[in-house]
Amino acid sequence: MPALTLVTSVDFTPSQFWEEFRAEYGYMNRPSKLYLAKGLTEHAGGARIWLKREDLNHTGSHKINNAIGQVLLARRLGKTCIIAETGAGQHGVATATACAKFGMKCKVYMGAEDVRRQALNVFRIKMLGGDVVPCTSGSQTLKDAINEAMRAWVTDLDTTHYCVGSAIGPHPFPTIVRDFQKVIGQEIKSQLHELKGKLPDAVVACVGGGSNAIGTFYDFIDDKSVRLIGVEAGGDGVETDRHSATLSLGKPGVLHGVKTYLLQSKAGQIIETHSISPGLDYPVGPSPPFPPLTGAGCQLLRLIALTQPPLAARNQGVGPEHSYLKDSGRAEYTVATDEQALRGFRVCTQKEGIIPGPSPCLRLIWARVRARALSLF
Amino acid sequence: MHRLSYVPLIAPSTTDARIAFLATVADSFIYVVSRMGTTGSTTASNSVSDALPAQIARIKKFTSIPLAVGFGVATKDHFSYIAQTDAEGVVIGSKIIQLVGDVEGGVAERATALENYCREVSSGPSKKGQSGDLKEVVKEQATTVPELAEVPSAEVKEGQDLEIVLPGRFGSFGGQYVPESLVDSLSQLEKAHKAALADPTVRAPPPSSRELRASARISCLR
Repeated sequence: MPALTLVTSVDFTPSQFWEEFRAEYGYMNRPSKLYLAKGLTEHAGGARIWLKREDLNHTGSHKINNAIGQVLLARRLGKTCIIAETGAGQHGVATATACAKFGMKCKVYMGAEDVRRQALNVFRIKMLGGDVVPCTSGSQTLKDAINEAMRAWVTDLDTTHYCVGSAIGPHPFPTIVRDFQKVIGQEIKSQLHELKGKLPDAVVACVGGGSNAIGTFYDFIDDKSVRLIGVEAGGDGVETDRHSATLSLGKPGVLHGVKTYLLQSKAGQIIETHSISPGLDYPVGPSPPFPPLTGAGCQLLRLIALTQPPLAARNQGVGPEHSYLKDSGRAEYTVATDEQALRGFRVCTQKEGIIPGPSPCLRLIWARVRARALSLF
Repeated sequence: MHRLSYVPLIAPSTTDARIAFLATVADSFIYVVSRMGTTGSTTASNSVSDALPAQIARIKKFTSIPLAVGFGVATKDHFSYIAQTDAEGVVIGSKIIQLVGDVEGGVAERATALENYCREVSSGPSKKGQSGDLKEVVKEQATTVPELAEVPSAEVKEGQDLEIVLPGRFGSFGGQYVPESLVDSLSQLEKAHKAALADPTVRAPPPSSRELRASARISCLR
Protein backbone atom coordinates (compact mmCIF):
# COMPACT_ATOMS: atom_id res chain seq x y z
CA MET A 1 0.00 0.00 0.00
CA PRO A 2 2.55 2.59 0.98
CA ALA A 3 4.64 2.15 -2.16
CA LEU A 4 1.42 2.47 -4.06
CA THR A 5 0.54 5.87 -2.74
CA LEU A 6 3.93 7.12 -3.71
CA VAL A 7 3.65 5.96 -7.28
CA THR A 8 0.84 8.33 -7.90
CA SER A 9 2.58 11.22 -6.27
CA VAL A 10 5.84 10.86 -8.15
CA ASP A 11 6.46 13.16 -11.03
CA PHE A 12 7.76 11.17 -13.94
CA THR A 13 7.91 14.01 -16.36
CA PRO A 14 11.32 14.42 -17.85
CA SER A 15 13.29 17.20 -16.37
CA GLN A 16 16.85 18.22 -16.18
CA PHE A 17 18.13 15.09 -14.52
CA TRP A 18 21.48 14.89 -16.24
CA GLU A 19 22.08 18.52 -15.66
CA GLU A 20 21.50 17.86 -11.98
CA PHE A 21 23.89 14.93 -12.17
CA ARG A 22 26.59 16.88 -13.96
CA ALA A 23 26.25 19.71 -11.51
CA GLU A 24 27.87 17.34 -9.02
CA TYR A 25 30.94 16.74 -11.20
CA GLY A 26 32.96 19.21 -9.20
CA TYR A 27 32.11 17.32 -6.07
CA MET A 28 32.84 13.94 -7.64
CA ASN A 29 36.03 15.27 -9.23
CA ARG A 30 34.94 14.44 -12.75
CA PRO A 31 36.08 14.15 -15.40
CA SER A 32 38.77 11.85 -14.07
CA LYS A 33 42.13 12.07 -15.80
CA LEU A 34 43.26 9.85 -18.61
CA TYR A 35 46.93 9.44 -17.96
CA LEU A 36 49.67 7.99 -20.16
CA ALA A 37 51.56 5.55 -17.95
CA LYS A 38 55.05 5.91 -19.40
CA GLY A 39 56.76 3.65 -16.92
CA LEU A 40 54.30 0.87 -17.45
CA THR A 41 54.38 1.34 -21.18
CA GLU A 42 58.15 1.09 -21.25
CA HIS A 43 58.11 -1.88 -18.97
CA ALA A 44 55.54 -3.68 -21.08
CA GLY A 45 57.39 -2.75 -24.23
CA GLY A 46 54.39 -2.88 -26.49
CA ALA A 47 51.20 -0.97 -26.51
CA ARG A 48 50.95 2.46 -24.99
CA ILE A 49 49.14 2.13 -21.69
CA TRP A 50 46.78 4.78 -20.47
CA LEU A 51 45.25 4.78 -17.03
CA LYS A 52 41.82 6.19 -16.45
CA ARG A 53 42.19 7.52 -12.96
CA GLU A 54 38.87 6.66 -11.33
CA ASP A 55 40.85 6.19 -8.13
CA LEU A 56 41.15 9.96 -7.89
CA ASN A 57 37.40 10.45 -7.70
CA HIS A 58 35.86 11.65 -4.50
CA THR A 59 35.81 8.70 -2.05
CA GLY A 60 38.52 7.03 -4.10
CA SER A 61 36.61 4.97 -6.59
CA HIS A 62 34.12 4.90 -9.44
CA LYS A 63 31.41 4.00 -6.91
CA ILE A 64 30.63 7.66 -6.33
CA ASN A 65 29.22 7.97 -9.89
CA ASN A 66 26.51 5.46 -9.15
CA ALA A 67 25.89 6.56 -5.56
CA ILE A 68 25.27 10.18 -6.54
CA GLY A 69 23.11 9.14 -9.49
CA GLN A 70 20.93 6.82 -7.46
CA VAL A 71 20.54 9.19 -4.54
CA LEU A 72 19.35 11.87 -6.98
CA LEU A 73 16.93 9.34 -8.44
CA ALA A 74 15.72 8.34 -4.97
CA ARG A 75 15.14 11.97 -4.14
CA ARG A 76 12.90 12.26 -7.20
CA LEU A 77 10.95 9.28 -5.93
CA GLY A 78 10.39 11.04 -2.64
CA LYS A 79 12.48 8.53 -0.67
CA THR A 80 14.18 9.68 2.51
CA CYS A 81 16.20 6.65 3.42
CA ILE A 82 18.86 4.79 1.47
CA ILE A 83 20.05 1.28 2.08
CA ALA A 84 23.02 -0.30 0.40
CA GLU A 85 25.13 -3.41 0.52
CA THR A 86 28.88 -3.33 0.48
CA GLY A 87 31.68 -5.83 0.28
CA ALA A 88 34.99 -4.08 0.54
CA GLY A 89 33.28 -0.97 1.79
CA GLN A 90 33.83 1.25 -1.24
CA HIS A 91 30.21 1.35 -2.24
CA GLY A 92 29.21 1.75 1.40
CA VAL A 93 31.47 4.77 1.75
CA ALA A 94 30.29 6.28 -1.54
CA THR A 95 26.65 5.81 -0.56
CA ALA A 96 27.13 7.22 2.94
CA THR A 97 28.91 10.18 1.34
CA ALA A 98 26.10 10.88 -1.11
CA CYS A 99 23.57 10.51 1.71
CA ALA A 100 25.44 12.98 3.89
CA LYS A 101 25.50 15.45 1.04
CA PHE A 102 21.81 15.14 0.22
CA GLY A 103 20.49 14.70 3.73
CA MET A 104 19.30 11.12 3.42
CA LYS A 105 19.29 8.47 6.12
CA CYS A 106 21.78 5.77 5.30
CA LYS A 107 22.01 2.14 6.31
CA VAL A 108 24.76 -0.09 4.94
CA TYR A 109 24.52 -3.87 5.06
CA MET A 110 27.85 -5.57 5.30
CA GLY A 111 28.89 -9.16 5.95
CA ALA A 112 30.22 -9.55 9.49
CA GLU A 113 33.41 -10.98 8.06
CA ASP A 114 33.82 -7.90 5.86
CA VAL A 115 33.07 -5.60 8.79
CA ARG A 116 36.04 -7.18 10.49
CA ARG A 117 38.30 -7.02 7.44
CA GLN A 118 37.30 -3.51 6.39
CA ALA A 119 37.39 -1.70 9.70
CA LEU A 120 38.58 1.55 8.16
CA ASN A 121 35.70 1.79 5.73
CA VAL A 122 33.24 0.87 8.48
CA PHE A 123 34.65 3.76 10.47
CA ARG A 124 34.27 6.09 7.49
CA ILE A 125 30.66 5.11 6.93
CA LYS A 126 29.88 5.77 10.58
CA MET A 127 31.63 9.14 10.55
CA LEU A 128 29.54 10.09 7.54
CA GLY A 129 26.44 9.41 9.60
CA GLY A 130 25.57 6.00 8.17
CA ASP A 131 24.59 2.91 10.11
CA VAL A 132 26.48 -0.28 9.46
CA VAL A 133 24.47 -3.47 9.83
CA PRO A 134 26.70 -6.55 10.10
CA CYS A 135 25.15 -9.62 8.45
CA THR A 136 25.88 -12.89 10.16
CA SER A 137 24.17 -15.31 7.81
CA GLY A 138 25.94 -17.57 5.31
CA SER A 139 29.54 -16.75 4.57
CA GLN A 140 29.07 -13.30 6.17
CA THR A 141 30.27 -11.52 3.07
CA LEU A 142 28.84 -9.66 0.10
CA LYS A 143 26.22 -12.09 -1.11
CA ASP A 144 24.77 -12.28 2.37
CA ALA A 145 24.78 -8.51 2.67
CA ILE A 146 22.78 -8.31 -0.58
CA ASN A 147 20.30 -10.86 0.78
CA GLU A 148 19.84 -8.85 3.96
CA ALA A 149 19.55 -5.54 2.16
CA MET A 150 16.84 -6.98 -0.13
CA ARG A 151 14.94 -8.33 2.87
CA ALA A 152 15.17 -5.02 4.63
CA TRP A 153 14.08 -3.15 1.55
CA VAL A 154 10.91 -5.22 1.16
CA THR A 155 9.76 -4.19 4.62
CA ASP A 156 10.20 -0.48 3.96
CA LEU A 157 9.46 0.17 0.34
CA ASP A 158 7.59 3.39 0.90
CA THR A 159 10.41 5.44 2.35
CA THR A 160 13.47 3.53 1.26
CA HIS A 161 15.53 3.21 -1.88
CA TYR A 162 17.92 0.31 -2.28
CA CYS A 163 21.07 1.71 -3.84
CA VAL A 164 22.60 -1.36 -5.48
CA GLY A 165 26.34 -0.98 -5.83
CA SER A 166 27.18 -3.01 -8.90
CA ALA A 167 25.50 -3.72 -12.22
CA ILE A 168 23.74 -6.70 -10.70
CA GLY A 169 20.37 -7.55 -9.20
CA PRO A 170 16.94 -7.57 -10.80
CA HIS A 171 15.98 -5.26 -13.62
CA PRO A 172 16.22 -2.24 -13.68
CA PHE A 173 19.27 -2.15 -11.40
CA PRO A 174 21.86 -3.39 -13.92
CA THR A 175 20.65 -0.76 -16.37
CA ILE A 176 20.57 2.04 -13.82
CA VAL A 177 24.05 1.32 -12.52
CA ARG A 178 25.43 1.04 -16.05
CA ASP A 179 23.85 4.34 -17.03
CA PHE A 180 25.54 6.10 -14.12
CA GLN A 181 28.89 4.41 -14.78
CA LYS A 182 28.98 4.82 -18.55
CA VAL A 183 30.49 8.24 -18.03
CA ILE A 184 33.82 6.39 -17.63
CA GLY A 185 33.82 5.08 -21.20
CA GLN A 186 32.41 8.30 -22.59
CA GLU A 187 35.23 10.26 -21.02
CA ILE A 188 37.91 7.83 -22.16
CA LYS A 189 36.61 8.18 -25.69
CA SER A 190 36.49 11.94 -25.76
CA GLN A 191 39.76 12.38 -23.85
CA LEU A 192 41.69 10.03 -26.08
CA HIS A 193 40.16 11.64 -29.11
CA GLU A 194 41.39 15.01 -27.95
CA LEU A 195 44.83 13.70 -27.12
CA LYS A 196 45.41 11.28 -29.97
CA GLY A 197 42.55 11.76 -32.36
CA LYS A 198 41.63 8.10 -32.35
CA LEU A 199 39.94 5.25 -30.60
CA PRO A 200 41.79 2.90 -28.30
CA ASP A 201 42.68 -0.53 -29.67
CA ALA A 202 41.57 -2.23 -26.52
CA VAL A 203 39.89 -1.34 -23.28
CA VAL A 204 40.65 -3.49 -20.27
CA ALA A 205 38.74 -3.53 -17.01
CA CYS A 206 38.52 -5.73 -13.97
CA VAL A 207 35.28 -7.57 -13.43
CA GLY A 208 33.70 -8.60 -10.16
CA GLY A 209 30.06 -7.68 -10.31
CA GLY A 210 31.18 -5.59 -13.24
CA SER A 211 30.02 -2.01 -12.72
CA ASN A 212 33.28 -0.30 -13.61
CA ALA A 213 33.78 -2.66 -16.53
CA ILE A 214 30.34 -2.15 -18.03
CA GLY A 215 30.70 1.59 -17.48
CA THR A 216 34.00 1.47 -19.35
CA PHE A 217 32.85 -0.84 -22.16
CA TYR A 218 29.44 0.58 -22.82
CA ASP A 219 30.33 3.54 -25.00
CA PHE A 220 32.66 1.35 -27.09
CA ILE A 221 30.27 -1.50 -27.81
CA ASP A 222 29.40 -0.11 -31.23
CA ASP A 223 33.02 0.67 -32.05
CA LYS A 224 33.86 -2.78 -33.34
CA SER A 225 37.57 -2.04 -33.73
CA VAL A 226 37.93 -1.65 -29.98
CA ARG A 227 38.57 -4.88 -28.12
CA LEU A 228 36.75 -5.09 -24.83
CA ILE A 229 38.64 -7.20 -22.33
CA GLY A 230 37.40 -8.03 -18.84
CA VAL A 231 39.74 -9.57 -16.30
CA GLU A 232 38.35 -11.69 -13.51
CA ALA A 233 39.94 -12.68 -10.23
CA GLY A 234 41.64 -16.03 -10.69
CA GLY A 235 42.56 -16.45 -7.03
CA ASP A 236 44.86 -19.41 -6.64
CA GLY A 237 44.19 -20.33 -10.25
CA VAL A 238 41.18 -21.46 -12.21
CA GLU A 239 42.24 -25.10 -11.87
CA THR A 240 41.75 -24.76 -8.10
CA ASP A 241 38.48 -24.10 -6.33
CA ARG A 242 39.67 -20.80 -4.92
CA HIS A 243 38.84 -18.11 -7.48
CA SER A 244 36.09 -15.72 -8.65
CA ALA A 245 36.18 -16.46 -12.36
CA THR A 246 32.44 -16.26 -12.77
CA LEU A 247 32.33 -15.61 -16.49
CA SER A 248 35.17 -17.92 -17.36
CA LEU A 249 33.96 -20.90 -15.38
CA GLY A 250 30.39 -20.19 -14.30
CA LYS A 251 27.12 -21.48 -15.67
CA PRO A 252 23.95 -19.44 -16.24
CA GLY A 253 21.60 -19.39 -13.29
CA VAL A 254 19.52 -17.03 -11.19
CA LEU A 255 20.83 -15.20 -8.14
CA HIS A 256 19.63 -12.06 -6.42
CA GLY A 257 16.79 -11.70 -8.89
CA VAL A 258 18.72 -11.85 -12.13
CA LYS A 259 19.78 -14.47 -14.65
CA THR A 260 23.49 -14.39 -15.31
CA TYR A 261 26.68 -16.43 -15.11
CA LEU A 262 27.21 -17.83 -11.63
CA LEU A 263 29.69 -20.00 -9.82
CA GLN A 264 27.50 -22.85 -8.77
CA SER A 265 27.70 -26.48 -7.81
CA LYS A 266 26.14 -29.27 -9.86
CA ALA A 267 23.11 -29.00 -7.63
CA GLY A 268 22.83 -25.29 -8.43
CA GLN A 269 24.06 -24.08 -5.07
CA ILE A 270 26.24 -20.98 -5.03
CA ILE A 271 29.93 -21.66 -4.55
CA GLU A 272 31.91 -19.31 -2.37
CA THR A 273 34.49 -17.38 -4.32
CA HIS A 274 37.96 -16.28 -3.65
CA SER A 275 40.17 -13.39 -4.52
CA ILE A 276 42.81 -11.36 -2.78
CA SER A 277 40.66 -8.38 -3.50
CA PRO A 278 37.78 -8.28 -1.11
CA GLY A 279 35.77 -6.58 -3.80
CA LEU A 280 36.33 -8.95 -6.64
CA ASP A 281 35.00 -12.06 -5.08
CA TYR A 282 31.29 -12.06 -5.64
CA PRO A 283 30.66 -15.21 -4.29
CA VAL A 284 33.18 -14.37 -1.80
CA GLY A 285 35.55 -16.57 -0.07
CA PRO A 286 37.82 -16.87 2.85
CA SER A 287 39.86 -14.03 4.26
CA PRO A 288 42.14 -12.59 1.67
CA PRO A 289 45.81 -12.70 2.54
CA PHE A 290 46.16 -9.14 1.36
CA PRO A 291 45.58 -5.93 3.24
CA PRO A 292 42.22 -4.41 2.48
CA LEU A 293 43.35 -1.29 0.73
CA THR A 294 40.78 0.61 -1.11
CA GLY A 295 41.63 0.61 -4.63
CA ALA A 296 41.54 1.05 -8.18
CA GLY A 297 40.36 -0.92 -11.08
CA CYS A 298 41.68 -0.43 -14.46
CA GLN A 299 40.86 -0.22 -18.04
CA LEU A 300 43.55 -0.38 -20.63
CA LEU A 301 43.94 0.02 -24.31
CA ARG A 302 46.70 -0.51 -26.87
CA LEU A 303 46.42 2.80 -26.18
CA ILE A 304 45.28 1.30 -23.09
CA ALA A 305 43.27 3.10 -20.51
CA LEU A 306 43.16 1.79 -17.01
CA THR A 307 40.35 3.02 -14.90
CA GLN A 308 40.86 2.94 -11.27
CA PRO A 309 37.62 1.95 -9.85
CA PRO A 310 38.05 -0.04 -6.76
CA LEU A 311 36.89 -3.35 -6.10
CA ALA A 312 34.01 -4.30 -8.12
CA ALA A 313 31.28 -6.01 -6.25
CA ARG A 314 32.02 -9.17 -4.47
CA ASN A 315 29.43 -11.01 -6.32
CA GLN A 316 28.38 -14.54 -6.66
CA GLY A 317 27.60 -13.69 -10.17
CA VAL A 318 28.52 -11.11 -12.66
CA GLY A 319 26.31 -8.39 -14.12
CA PRO A 320 23.92 -9.76 -16.76
CA GLU A 321 25.14 -7.43 -19.48
CA HIS A 322 28.61 -8.95 -19.20
CA SER A 323 27.06 -12.40 -19.60
CA TYR A 324 25.49 -11.14 -22.78
CA LEU A 325 28.68 -9.49 -24.05
CA LYS A 326 30.53 -12.72 -23.42
CA ASP A 327 28.01 -14.94 -25.18
CA SER A 328 27.68 -12.58 -28.11
CA GLY A 329 31.45 -12.51 -28.42
CA ARG A 330 31.64 -8.71 -28.29
CA ALA A 331 33.77 -8.72 -25.15
CA GLU A 332 36.36 -11.25 -24.07
CA TYR A 333 36.93 -12.27 -20.50
CA THR A 334 40.14 -13.58 -19.07
CA VAL A 335 41.51 -14.40 -15.66
CA ALA A 336 44.44 -13.17 -13.61
CA THR A 337 45.57 -15.12 -10.57
CA ASP A 338 46.48 -13.60 -7.23
CA GLU A 339 50.13 -14.04 -8.05
CA GLN A 340 49.80 -12.24 -11.35
CA ALA A 341 47.84 -9.49 -9.65
CA LEU A 342 50.58 -9.02 -7.09
CA ARG A 343 53.18 -8.84 -9.82
CA GLY A 344 51.07 -6.24 -11.53
CA PHE A 345 50.78 -4.38 -8.29
CA ARG A 346 54.55 -4.27 -7.95
CA VAL A 347 55.10 -3.15 -11.50
CA CYS A 348 52.54 -0.38 -11.21
CA THR A 349 53.83 0.78 -7.88
CA GLN A 350 57.50 0.75 -8.79
CA LYS A 351 57.42 1.76 -12.44
CA GLU A 352 54.59 4.21 -12.32
CA GLY A 353 54.51 5.49 -8.77
CA ILE A 354 50.86 4.64 -8.42
CA ILE A 355 49.75 2.35 -5.66
CA PRO A 356 46.69 0.72 -7.07
CA GLY A 357 43.94 -0.87 -5.11
CA PRO A 358 44.48 -4.46 -4.28
CA SER A 359 43.31 -6.59 -7.01
CA PRO A 360 41.32 -4.91 -9.64
CA CYS A 361 43.84 -2.57 -10.91
CA LEU A 362 46.52 -5.02 -10.34
CA ARG A 363 45.21 -7.86 -12.14
CA LEU A 364 44.38 -5.59 -14.93
CA ILE A 365 47.73 -4.14 -15.09
CA TRP A 366 49.30 -7.50 -14.87
CA ALA A 367 46.88 -8.84 -17.37
CA ARG A 368 47.93 -6.00 -19.59
CA VAL A 369 51.54 -6.84 -19.27
CA ARG A 370 50.81 -10.45 -19.77
CA ALA A 371 48.66 -9.69 -22.74
CA ARG A 372 51.61 -8.15 -24.45
CA ALA A 373 53.71 -11.18 -23.71
CA LEU A 374 51.05 -13.27 -25.34
CA SER A 375 51.06 -10.79 -28.19
CA LEU A 376 47.42 -10.12 -27.77
CA PHE A 377 48.09 -6.63 -28.87
CA MET B 1 0.59 -33.02 -17.97
CA HIS B 2 2.03 -32.52 -14.54
CA ARG B 3 -1.12 -30.88 -13.29
CA LEU B 4 0.79 -27.94 -11.86
CA SER B 5 -0.95 -24.71 -11.06
CA TYR B 6 0.53 -21.26 -11.18
CA VAL B 7 -0.25 -19.56 -7.89
CA PRO B 8 0.38 -15.82 -7.95
CA LEU B 9 1.28 -13.95 -4.77
CA ILE B 10 -0.30 -10.65 -3.85
CA ALA B 11 1.46 -8.48 -1.30
CA PRO B 12 0.24 -5.42 0.64
CA SER B 13 2.23 -3.26 -1.79
CA THR B 14 0.70 -4.76 -4.94
CA THR B 15 -1.16 -2.15 -6.94
CA ASP B 16 -4.70 -2.56 -8.19
CA ALA B 17 -3.50 -2.80 -11.78
CA ARG B 18 -1.15 -5.61 -10.87
CA ILE B 19 -3.85 -7.40 -8.85
CA ALA B 20 -6.15 -7.21 -11.83
CA PHE B 21 -3.47 -8.78 -13.99
CA LEU B 22 -2.54 -11.49 -11.48
CA ALA B 23 -6.19 -12.43 -11.11
CA THR B 24 -6.24 -13.30 -14.80
CA VAL B 25 -3.34 -15.74 -14.53
CA ALA B 26 -4.50 -17.51 -11.33
CA ASP B 27 -6.14 -20.84 -12.05
CA SER B 28 -6.52 -22.44 -8.61
CA PHE B 29 -6.07 -19.92 -5.81
CA ILE B 30 -4.20 -16.74 -4.97
CA TYR B 31 -1.65 -16.60 -2.19
CA VAL B 32 -2.17 -13.42 -0.19
CA VAL B 33 1.02 -12.24 1.50
CA SER B 34 -0.19 -10.84 4.79
CA ARG B 35 2.70 -8.49 5.36
CA MET B 36 5.93 -7.25 3.84
CA GLY B 37 9.04 -9.24 4.62
CA THR B 38 10.20 -12.79 4.12
CA THR B 39 8.42 -15.96 5.03
CA GLY B 40 9.02 -17.41 8.47
CA SER B 41 11.11 -14.44 9.51
CA THR B 42 8.90 -13.16 12.32
CA THR B 43 8.72 -14.51 15.81
CA ALA B 44 6.39 -11.90 17.23
CA SER B 45 3.23 -13.46 18.56
CA ASN B 46 0.86 -11.36 16.54
CA SER B 47 2.42 -10.66 13.21
CA VAL B 48 -0.60 -10.81 10.94
CA SER B 49 -1.34 -7.31 9.76
CA ASP B 50 -4.37 -5.39 10.99
CA ALA B 51 -4.81 -4.22 7.44
CA LEU B 52 -5.49 -7.75 6.25
CA PRO B 53 -9.30 -7.50 6.05
CA ALA B 54 -9.01 -4.42 3.89
CA GLN B 55 -6.36 -6.05 1.73
CA ILE B 56 -8.59 -9.07 1.17
CA ALA B 57 -11.55 -6.88 0.36
CA ARG B 58 -9.43 -5.03 -2.16
CA ILE B 59 -8.44 -8.28 -3.89
CA LYS B 60 -12.01 -9.58 -3.82
CA LYS B 61 -13.00 -6.65 -5.96
CA PHE B 62 -11.04 -8.16 -8.81
CA THR B 63 -11.61 -11.87 -8.54
CA SER B 64 -13.72 -14.66 -7.14
CA ILE B 65 -10.80 -17.09 -7.09
CA PRO B 66 -10.19 -18.44 -3.56
CA LEU B 67 -7.66 -16.55 -1.45
CA ALA B 68 -5.23 -18.21 0.94
CA VAL B 69 -3.37 -16.05 3.44
CA GLY B 70 0.19 -16.78 4.50
CA PHE B 71 3.40 -15.19 5.87
CA GLY B 72 3.78 -14.77 9.62
CA VAL B 73 0.97 -17.23 10.35
CA ALA B 74 1.98 -19.55 13.16
CA THR B 75 -0.52 -19.62 16.01
CA LYS B 76 -4.10 -20.44 16.68
CA ASP B 77 -4.82 -16.74 17.12
CA HIS B 78 -3.48 -15.99 13.67
CA PHE B 79 -5.52 -18.81 12.23
CA SER B 80 -8.73 -17.68 13.87
CA TYR B 81 -8.13 -14.12 12.85
CA ILE B 82 -7.72 -15.06 9.20
CA ALA B 83 -10.62 -17.49 9.37
CA GLN B 84 -12.90 -14.62 10.22
CA THR B 85 -11.99 -12.62 7.17
CA ASP B 86 -13.30 -13.34 3.71
CA ALA B 87 -10.25 -15.42 2.88
CA GLU B 88 -10.89 -19.03 1.93
CA GLY B 89 -7.66 -20.54 3.18
CA VAL B 90 -4.71 -20.24 5.54
CA VAL B 91 -1.12 -21.16 4.64
CA ILE B 92 1.30 -22.29 7.32
CA GLY B 93 4.73 -23.24 6.05
CA SER B 94 7.80 -22.20 7.98
CA LYS B 95 6.22 -22.98 11.31
CA ILE B 96 5.54 -26.57 10.28
CA ILE B 97 9.05 -27.10 8.96
CA GLN B 98 10.40 -25.69 12.19
CA LEU B 99 8.08 -27.84 14.30
CA VAL B 100 8.98 -31.05 12.51
CA GLY B 101 12.65 -30.17 12.80
CA ASP B 102 12.45 -29.42 16.51
CA VAL B 103 10.78 -32.65 17.59
CA GLU B 104 13.09 -35.24 19.11
CA GLY B 105 12.53 -38.75 17.89
CA GLY B 106 11.56 -40.61 14.77
CA VAL B 107 9.03 -40.16 12.02
CA ALA B 108 6.14 -41.28 14.18
CA GLU B 109 6.84 -38.70 16.90
CA ARG B 110 7.18 -35.95 14.32
CA ALA B 111 3.96 -36.95 12.63
CA THR B 112 2.13 -36.95 15.94
CA ALA B 113 3.48 -33.54 16.87
CA LEU B 114 2.42 -32.20 13.50
CA GLU B 115 -1.03 -33.66 13.82
CA ASN B 116 -1.46 -32.18 17.28
CA TYR B 117 -0.29 -28.81 16.06
CA CYS B 118 -2.69 -28.80 13.12
CA ARG B 119 -5.57 -29.83 15.34
CA GLU B 120 -4.79 -27.16 17.87
CA VAL B 121 -4.33 -24.39 15.33
CA SER B 122 -7.46 -25.13 13.38
CA SER B 123 -9.75 -25.89 16.29
CA GLY B 124 -10.72 -22.28 16.71
CA PRO B 125 -13.95 -20.66 15.65
CA SER B 126 -14.52 -21.03 11.95
CA LYS B 127 -16.18 -18.34 9.96
CA LYS B 128 -19.19 -20.45 9.25
CA GLY B 129 -21.86 -19.89 11.84
CA GLN B 130 -19.86 -17.12 13.34
CA SER B 131 -20.59 -13.50 12.82
CA GLY B 132 -17.86 -11.77 14.77
CA ASP B 133 -17.24 -8.07 14.92
CA LEU B 134 -14.52 -8.50 12.39
CA LYS B 135 -16.93 -8.98 9.54
CA GLU B 136 -18.34 -5.58 10.19
CA VAL B 137 -14.91 -4.09 10.35
CA VAL B 138 -14.19 -5.64 7.00
CA LYS B 139 -17.30 -4.13 5.53
CA GLU B 140 -16.42 -0.74 6.83
CA GLN B 141 -12.93 -0.89 5.45
CA ALA B 142 -13.91 -2.17 2.07
CA THR B 143 -14.70 0.71 -0.20
CA THR B 144 -16.76 -1.41 -2.53
CA VAL B 145 -18.58 -4.67 -2.18
CA PRO B 146 -16.92 -7.22 -4.44
CA GLU B 147 -18.22 -6.63 -7.93
CA LEU B 148 -16.33 -8.58 -10.54
CA ALA B 149 -18.01 -6.79 -13.36
CA GLU B 150 -16.01 -3.70 -12.47
CA VAL B 151 -12.98 -5.07 -14.22
CA PRO B 152 -13.73 -6.43 -17.66
CA SER B 153 -11.07 -8.97 -18.49
CA ALA B 154 -10.20 -7.48 -21.85
CA GLU B 155 -9.35 -4.21 -20.22
CA VAL B 156 -7.22 -6.01 -17.70
CA LYS B 157 -5.14 -7.59 -20.41
CA GLU B 158 -4.37 -4.26 -21.94
CA GLY B 159 -4.05 -2.37 -18.72
CA GLN B 160 -1.68 -4.82 -17.12
CA ASP B 161 1.39 -3.06 -15.88
CA LEU B 162 3.68 -5.42 -17.70
CA GLU B 163 4.48 -2.83 -20.27
CA ILE B 164 8.15 -2.70 -21.00
CA VAL B 165 9.44 0.64 -19.91
CA LEU B 166 13.10 -0.16 -20.39
CA PRO B 167 14.53 -3.36 -21.89
CA GLY B 168 14.74 -5.83 -19.01
CA ARG B 169 17.08 -8.30 -20.62
CA PHE B 170 20.45 -8.51 -22.26
CA GLY B 171 19.98 -11.39 -24.68
CA SER B 172 18.75 -14.21 -22.50
CA PHE B 173 20.31 -12.68 -19.39
CA GLY B 174 18.98 -10.18 -16.90
CA GLY B 175 15.31 -10.16 -16.01
CA GLN B 176 13.49 -9.71 -12.75
CA TYR B 177 13.22 -12.83 -10.61
CA VAL B 178 11.80 -11.21 -7.50
CA PRO B 179 9.08 -11.66 -4.92
CA GLU B 180 5.76 -10.15 -5.86
CA SER B 181 6.10 -7.53 -3.14
CA LEU B 182 9.02 -5.94 -5.01
CA VAL B 183 7.46 -5.83 -8.46
CA ASP B 184 5.69 -2.53 -8.16
CA SER B 185 8.61 -0.78 -6.49
CA LEU B 186 10.97 -1.93 -9.22
CA SER B 187 8.50 -0.79 -11.81
CA GLN B 188 8.29 2.62 -10.16
CA LEU B 189 12.07 2.83 -10.13
CA GLU B 190 12.21 1.83 -13.78
CA LYS B 191 9.79 4.57 -14.74
CA ALA B 192 11.72 7.16 -12.78
CA HIS B 193 14.95 6.11 -14.43
CA LYS B 194 13.36 6.20 -17.84
CA ALA B 195 12.13 9.70 -17.16
CA ALA B 196 15.65 10.67 -16.22
CA LEU B 197 16.96 9.15 -19.43
CA ALA B 198 14.33 10.97 -21.41
CA ASP B 199 15.74 14.19 -20.09
CA PRO B 200 16.38 16.34 -23.15
CA THR B 201 19.83 17.24 -21.92
CA VAL B 202 20.97 13.64 -22.14
CA ARG B 203 20.62 13.51 -25.90
CA ALA B 204 23.29 16.07 -26.27
CA PRO B 205 26.70 14.45 -26.67
CA PRO B 206 28.64 14.33 -23.45
CA PRO B 207 30.59 17.51 -22.95
CA SER B 208 34.19 17.30 -24.05
CA SER B 209 36.79 17.53 -21.37
CA ARG B 210 37.70 20.96 -22.70
CA GLU B 211 34.18 22.17 -22.07
CA LEU B 212 34.24 20.56 -18.69
CA ARG B 213 37.50 22.18 -17.81
CA ALA B 214 36.09 25.50 -18.89
CA SER B 215 33.02 25.03 -16.74
CA ALA B 216 35.21 23.95 -13.86
CA ARG B 217 37.19 27.18 -14.23
CA ILE B 218 34.01 29.15 -14.24
CA SER B 219 32.80 27.51 -11.07
CA CYS B 220 36.17 28.20 -9.49
CA LEU B 221 35.86 31.86 -10.34
CA ARG B 222 32.48 31.96 -8.74
